[in-house]
Amino acid sequence: MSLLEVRGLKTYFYTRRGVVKVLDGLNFALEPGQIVGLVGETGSGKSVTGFSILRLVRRPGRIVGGEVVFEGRDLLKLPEPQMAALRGRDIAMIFQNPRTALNPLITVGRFLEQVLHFRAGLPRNRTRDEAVRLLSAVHIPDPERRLSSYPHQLSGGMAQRVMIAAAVAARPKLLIADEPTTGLDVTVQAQIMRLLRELRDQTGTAQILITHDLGLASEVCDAIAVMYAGEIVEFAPTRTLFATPKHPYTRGLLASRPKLGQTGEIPGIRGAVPDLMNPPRGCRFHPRCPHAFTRCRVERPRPVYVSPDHYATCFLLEEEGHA
Amino acid sequence: MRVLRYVLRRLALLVPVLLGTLFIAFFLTRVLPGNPIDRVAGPYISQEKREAMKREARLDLPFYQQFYLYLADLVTKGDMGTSYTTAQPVTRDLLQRFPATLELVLYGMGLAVVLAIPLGVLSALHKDSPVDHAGRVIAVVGVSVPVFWLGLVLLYVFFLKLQWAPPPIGRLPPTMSPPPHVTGLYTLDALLAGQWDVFKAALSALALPAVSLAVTAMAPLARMTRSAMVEALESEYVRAARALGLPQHVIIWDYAFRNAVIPILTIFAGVFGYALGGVVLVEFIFSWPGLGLYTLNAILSSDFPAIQGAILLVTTVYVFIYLLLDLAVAAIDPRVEV
Repeated sequence: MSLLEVRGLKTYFYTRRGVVKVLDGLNFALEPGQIVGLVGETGSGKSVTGFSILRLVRRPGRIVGGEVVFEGRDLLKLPEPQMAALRGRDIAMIFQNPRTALNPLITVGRFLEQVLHFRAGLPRNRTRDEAVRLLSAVHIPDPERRLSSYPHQLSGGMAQRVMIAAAVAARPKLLIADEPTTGLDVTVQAQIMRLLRELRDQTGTAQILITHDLGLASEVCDAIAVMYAGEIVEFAPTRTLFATPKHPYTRGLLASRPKLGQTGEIPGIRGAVPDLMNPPRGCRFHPRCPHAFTRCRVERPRPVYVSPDHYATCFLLEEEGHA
Repeated sequence: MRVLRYVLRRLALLVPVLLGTLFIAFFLTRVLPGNPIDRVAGPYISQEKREAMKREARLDLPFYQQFYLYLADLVTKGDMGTSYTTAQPVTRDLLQRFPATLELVLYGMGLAVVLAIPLGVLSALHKDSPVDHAGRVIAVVGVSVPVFWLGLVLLYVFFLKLQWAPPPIGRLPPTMSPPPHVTGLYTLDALLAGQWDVFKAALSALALPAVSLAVTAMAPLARMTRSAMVEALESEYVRAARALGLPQHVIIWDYAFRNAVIPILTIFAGVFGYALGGVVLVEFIFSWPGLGLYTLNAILSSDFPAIQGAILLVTTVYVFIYLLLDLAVAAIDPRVEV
């Protein structure tokens, strides 16, 4: 059984100017211990997916449909107290900007001890030792002393390690990492990614890695979901995705990565991400797609499986006879 | 040690501030029409006698000399001159009246805080709900009701009709003598002396004026509490705390409120300072023998020494309030260094 199965998830934002359908029927699944990357441009709905799973979408956003099945239970049907009991304990999340995600007025120690006491259920007299152990597990030097640091005294990478330590304190089965390395130095990025991977290898924590960086995702993820305008347009094991991308958008993304030794212009994808208030009819990618034909402009493509673990939402595949 | 140095540095700043305000007070009193000699002497006194009185009060001297001599007396002898209205040294007048005002303002502000902060927190937690709207209505009514009108209505209802409150004739009934002087705050002194009946009498005399003061101070406090809490509750760290599943009480108090306290304190310092000045209407209605009433009378009768003394005192208190505010903020926020 999958650890997490997202089916037809719809999250809309009811703004004054109209309804923005940020997620309009999202499907994907995650196996225990697996790391899946959600890759897409800014505004493609990656972060909203993470917040929707935890049911922490902010107003005016609202989850209006679908299922988020975690260990056989539909989270969207749970009463709020049960959902709250699950956050941090079964599913935890880390954020894009670790320094604003930490309360500026409490120390690292107090923060971790609170998480350990309330979420991992540790008695007060054992939280301090455990906090030290957590900090050293995320490779923070001199953890004892770090307990009395305030967030503004930490570097970005250090703050993200603290966040990770807090997120894994209660040994969740799923960790959602929302752009965990954006804004960090490249060397620190690599360290954080290594840490996340190490975490999975040691404790079997499944992860959803939300990123706009396909290269980064390819280094740690077992499978990658490519998101475009609130939909997953292609889902495949990382290697398969890179070897045989099926969706024109994925191909465009892969082609637009600069390669070493390459000269001349880097091919991009023409056009821009559509306005989700008035998304294009039919396939949301068709205005930018070099292969678009009549059907793409009127009908919405459904996932087409080219193999049991690889699908793409593109009519070209049906034409090729995969359906 | 660093804190002590900071405090001393701030107190040193008090000197130029006081010099400046004193200069302005000196200047304004002497430029505006009216002077104490005319008041005291009346219209029928001889010109020589009037001149003699002026000389005695140094009012015949040039402005800068008056200023210099006043400063010299103040610094060397702590002498602020003698009030023309009370015929007492101004220093003594102030020492008697300031505790009365301070006690009233402390109770008023205490009440305002106790009412406004829970109201603001509740409004923020139930943003845009009926609770929030009700809170806003209470706050708006509080700020729109004139304090003198409120005082009169309270008196009408609780003194005249229900007879729960004592008459508006000061801090204690005329038959009761004040508790032994320690702080000058009657309720505190009465407690220290173990005089229960005096404590109760002082407290019931405080009730209506303190409520009048509190109602007007509540609105800005409640509004700031609400907006600071709303902002904190929508912050990234509260969202992260939710994602970690921290319990609601930790999120509300340790995350949101702790961060909201700083703007609330800042507004509170302003409201407190404003109340020290605005208390005059309340003192007038309740015949409260405080600083506000004293200053008002001093201004109305061109009592120069009394005006100068009162302004010096209020300025000093202001500076102290903001010093305390900065120390409190530094204690709460590790990013602020003193």
